[in-house]
Amino acid sequence: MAPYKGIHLTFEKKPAALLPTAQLTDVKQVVLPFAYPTAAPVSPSVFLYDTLRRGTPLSEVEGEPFSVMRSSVTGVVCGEKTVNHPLYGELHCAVIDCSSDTGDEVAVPEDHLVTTESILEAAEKAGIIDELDGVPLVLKLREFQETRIDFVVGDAVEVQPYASSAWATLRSYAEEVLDGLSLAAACAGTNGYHIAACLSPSRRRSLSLRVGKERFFKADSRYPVKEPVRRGRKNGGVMVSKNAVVRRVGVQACLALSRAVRLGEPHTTAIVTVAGDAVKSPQNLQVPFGTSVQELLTRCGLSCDPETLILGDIMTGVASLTQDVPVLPGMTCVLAFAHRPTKLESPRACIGCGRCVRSCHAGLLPFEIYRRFENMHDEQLAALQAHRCDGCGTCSYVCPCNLELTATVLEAGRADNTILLDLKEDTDA
Amino acid sequence: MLKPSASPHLRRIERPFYQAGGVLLCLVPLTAFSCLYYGVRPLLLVLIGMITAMLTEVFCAAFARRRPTLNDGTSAVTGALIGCMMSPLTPFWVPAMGALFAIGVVKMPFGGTGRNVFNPAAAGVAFCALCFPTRLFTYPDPAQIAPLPLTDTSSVVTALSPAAQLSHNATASIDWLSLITGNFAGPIGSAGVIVLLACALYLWMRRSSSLLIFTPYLTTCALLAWIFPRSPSPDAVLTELCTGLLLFTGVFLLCDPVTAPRHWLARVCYGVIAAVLVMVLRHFGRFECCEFFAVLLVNALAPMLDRTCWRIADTVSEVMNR
Amino acid sequence: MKKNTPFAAFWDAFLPNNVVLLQAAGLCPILAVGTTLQNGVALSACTAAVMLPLSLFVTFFGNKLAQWLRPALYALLASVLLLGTAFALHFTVSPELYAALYIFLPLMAVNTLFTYRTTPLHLSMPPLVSLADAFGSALGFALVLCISSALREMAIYGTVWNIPLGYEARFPEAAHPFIGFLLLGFMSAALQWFKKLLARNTAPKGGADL
Repeated sequence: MAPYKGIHLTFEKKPAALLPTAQLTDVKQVVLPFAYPTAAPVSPSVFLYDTLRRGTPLSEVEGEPFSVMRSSVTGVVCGEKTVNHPLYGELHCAVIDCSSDTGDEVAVPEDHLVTTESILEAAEKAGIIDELDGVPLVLKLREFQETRIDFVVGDAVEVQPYASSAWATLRSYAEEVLDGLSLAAACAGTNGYHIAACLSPSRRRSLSLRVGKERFFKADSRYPVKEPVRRGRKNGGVMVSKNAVVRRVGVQACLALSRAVRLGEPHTTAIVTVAGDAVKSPQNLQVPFGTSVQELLTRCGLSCDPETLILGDIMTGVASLTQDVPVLPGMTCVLAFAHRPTKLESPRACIGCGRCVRSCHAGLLPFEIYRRFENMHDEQLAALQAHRCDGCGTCSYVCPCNLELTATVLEAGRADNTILLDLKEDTDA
Repeated sequence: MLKPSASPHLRRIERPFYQAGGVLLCLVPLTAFSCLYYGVRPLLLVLIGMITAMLTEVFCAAFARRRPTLNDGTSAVTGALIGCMMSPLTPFWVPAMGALFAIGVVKMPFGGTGRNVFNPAAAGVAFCALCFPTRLFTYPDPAQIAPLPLTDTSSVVTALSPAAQLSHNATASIDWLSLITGNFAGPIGSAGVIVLLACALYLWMRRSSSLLIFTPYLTTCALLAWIFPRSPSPDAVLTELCTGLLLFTGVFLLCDPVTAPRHWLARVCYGVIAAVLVMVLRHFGRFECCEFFAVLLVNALAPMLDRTCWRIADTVSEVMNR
Repeated sequence: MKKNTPFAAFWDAFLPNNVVLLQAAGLCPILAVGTTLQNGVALSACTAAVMLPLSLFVTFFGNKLAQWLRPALYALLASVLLLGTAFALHFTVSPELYAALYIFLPLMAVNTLFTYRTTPLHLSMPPLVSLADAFGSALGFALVLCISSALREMAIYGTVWNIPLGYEARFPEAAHPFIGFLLLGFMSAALQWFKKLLARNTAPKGGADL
């Protein structure tokens, strides 16, 4: 019943998607937080001048072992610093000088009997974070265990213009990704595990040959992606009913899960797309966590001093004011632009074209929320349910009047109907 | 030096003049058709409307110490639309008064472009209809060959428009070819069905207007004309649809994005309610053309329609998803 | 300006908080019959003749009445007073003028101009202040009514107080209420603009601009 929703964005994935993934192994220094942001008490377990191996936990968190960060490199702790990360907030971090010894702290599984409990244990020990939403994978798998799931889908859809890290992961490690997905599906107690991607026909064919045609779902290329499957229809020959319960897992997390369970390896690297018009050679890089973004940009080469640095893809990414930001799980794209990606003019009044309503996949009225919020009409705002917004940015993208709809709707949703009224006395009363 | 930027960092850029430019382009063939029948007078009426509207906007903006937003072309469109709704015989000061009222009272006091509640063009013509009805509804006979004189129009042969004939319960006997090519007494904008429908299609393809308003409007008008015909001839529905400003209203006035609702269900209801009002006013209204009054009435309902229809559609989709 | 002195109350009701332009009371008769200056003056006189005794009544006896009784009793009292003024107008001044005012003279009895004086603010005013406030309101109403009716008479008939002004152009549609609405709207905007201008020019230099 709902009319067309979503927009088509022009892809700028070449040449990054075409080049092979480069490995960044000669990183000199990494900055890693002791733990992910958590309310539980954190006690660091490594100190200055301690030698670390890849996988050594940096701290202990009471009651939340999945919040612990593990060292992504072998090296020596040479300091501590506080980093204001654009995505994670304020983080207390350890600075680690990398050494060339590649010894790992791995827990090689004793036997090859894989059970749900062993999968969960391996995911927790490896410290895997799902790059799609930043949730620890072990929490997701526990939820899979407890609820009835019909399909576990490896989400490699990537309909934003620049990111191609999921494709790079699949290109290099498709079989391992599928193995990781099967392990996640085993936790969920289902045999329905598939990879969903939006690819050209030739790439789709080559991937189908490797993972099997029935394991591949073709996804729509409209942004934003509400769900990677099309309900009530056959996806890759498999019927997904309207009531089927579908859960998404990131492909890099699946890869990490496969390695953790089969080889006992910790989750220490990420594949990041580095692109943008200020980057000389855009490409996908596999880097250890904690590598600074500056290092990534130096490796790819900068044609000029960038004015805009975006962590994430261009629609939902956060602009960073410094290049000195460590790569952490959840960061799959770094964009550097010489100027602003789009030269913004000053906002005009809403002309009522209705494009924001047509393109909102959450079914909201962005123009009305904007109007009510600007006029501080508190009582109407609650009825408009601004908290349903997920910040996809489509409304601001399509607006011909350059209104900051996304930011306003998000703020209205966060304000939770308590708008501070700026009371002024009228001079001519 | 890194600078802040809010997401989304990519925007689809559209020039401010894009929307209004499309409408102005559509008014060119309409005026041209009328000039073909009546000489240069229709063009002058449209130009006077446009210029007065733009000057009024500049003056009002200067008074309010704001920059005039002439570059988005909306005041030019308002003036041109007012000119197109005049009769070719109308004195030149009438569209000027209408444009002055439209911009100076209906548009600028509410906040300028994008903030007006009522369609300024419809309001301007409504003002002219209330104040100078005889000057607005006196149409020249298209059969006369000489172009209309610019100043002294007393020698021009006038004819009753088909809309007037229908409102006097007389039969409007015009063949369908004349109806479609606009060869009957009427305002400048009722040039012919073919041109108006082509304009509607063009505006829809440019995404300046919504078919969700025009199609329910036209369908409801046709249905009501069929159920309650005003003339016994077999061409009653076609005559009803092609005469007066019915089609012009549907293409240009109702689809004005600022005053129309944005939600799809609200747009459909808007079109239907407008059609009902138009047909009711045609049957019981004081003037032969009452479409602009219907537009003003339905403009007042637009915000309420948006909110109500959104709530209805949201509730229904929630229930269906459960 | 404090409102508890008679002059302050008078001035406040007359112009800065004009009862028609800023408080939007008493619009109906202005729109309907404010088409000639003579009508305007007659209606203003009748309004003043009712408003002043009524305000005295409000001051002395308002508090003694039950809340629910007040508006009805004031309307009744206004009707009685209007009866007197109608008689005076018809028999003493001009029956044509009385006929021109039509139903809008009796309708003044339930006009907000009188019924809004049942607020606690008016009840608590001392008698002199209340009288001054009533006088200011009546004069303010008269001012707006006379200006708008003079302008409309000039447009419709080309005369002021039936004296021809010597031009040919006529705008008979100014007799419509909607032109009256427009005129009052612009007059109200002009008054507010003038007040803002005054406030801006008399604000203390360097002070906080609220």
